Amino acid sequence: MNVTQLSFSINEYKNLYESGELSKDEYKDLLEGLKLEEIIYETEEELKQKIGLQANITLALKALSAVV
Amino acid sequence: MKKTIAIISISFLLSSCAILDTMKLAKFDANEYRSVVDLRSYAQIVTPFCEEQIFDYELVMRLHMLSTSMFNYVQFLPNNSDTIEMTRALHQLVQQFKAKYDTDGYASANYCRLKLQQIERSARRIQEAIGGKNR
Repeated sequence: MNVTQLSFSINEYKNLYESGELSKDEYKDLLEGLKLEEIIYETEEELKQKIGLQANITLALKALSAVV
Repeated sequence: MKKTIAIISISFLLSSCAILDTMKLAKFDANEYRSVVDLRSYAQIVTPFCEEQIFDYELVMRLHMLSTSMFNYVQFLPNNSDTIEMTRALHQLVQQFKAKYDTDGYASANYCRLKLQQIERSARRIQEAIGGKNR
């Protein structure tokens, strides 16, 4: 989750909590949810990198075996 | 000279294969993709119902069932650790949502909407990631 999205969500939750439109428990739960979202976003980035790297290696291997 | 080039090339090939082996990734799995799409679509569809006086518990249970089914499907697929980690986190988000209704029997319209948005956003990211897996 990028910083802009994260701070937007945090502000939205904070405003709703301070105006009494979210209970304390709900506010806490949503903040904990953001932590889980962060895990998902970081892992997603990692997976994308692995997929890209794997494609590059496979491509290089194919090129090499054509030479050898 | 040719022999040296061949030896170097073969050792490069072998080391590349070793690298590939350590980062083996499960290939695209249509069922895995489908299960994330189903969960995401359901979260989108039920979000407007948060504005109703009572958010039907049946909707919570259905969402939880889709999430459990998704996680159980993915859980033991080999070379799939990243997807397992992401779906575990998504399943936890759904469990938090269900726990709120189980414990309090009620949630505010704002909580309901924002939590479903978290679930939908996360499912979309996962869908994007697993959609890019090799065929």
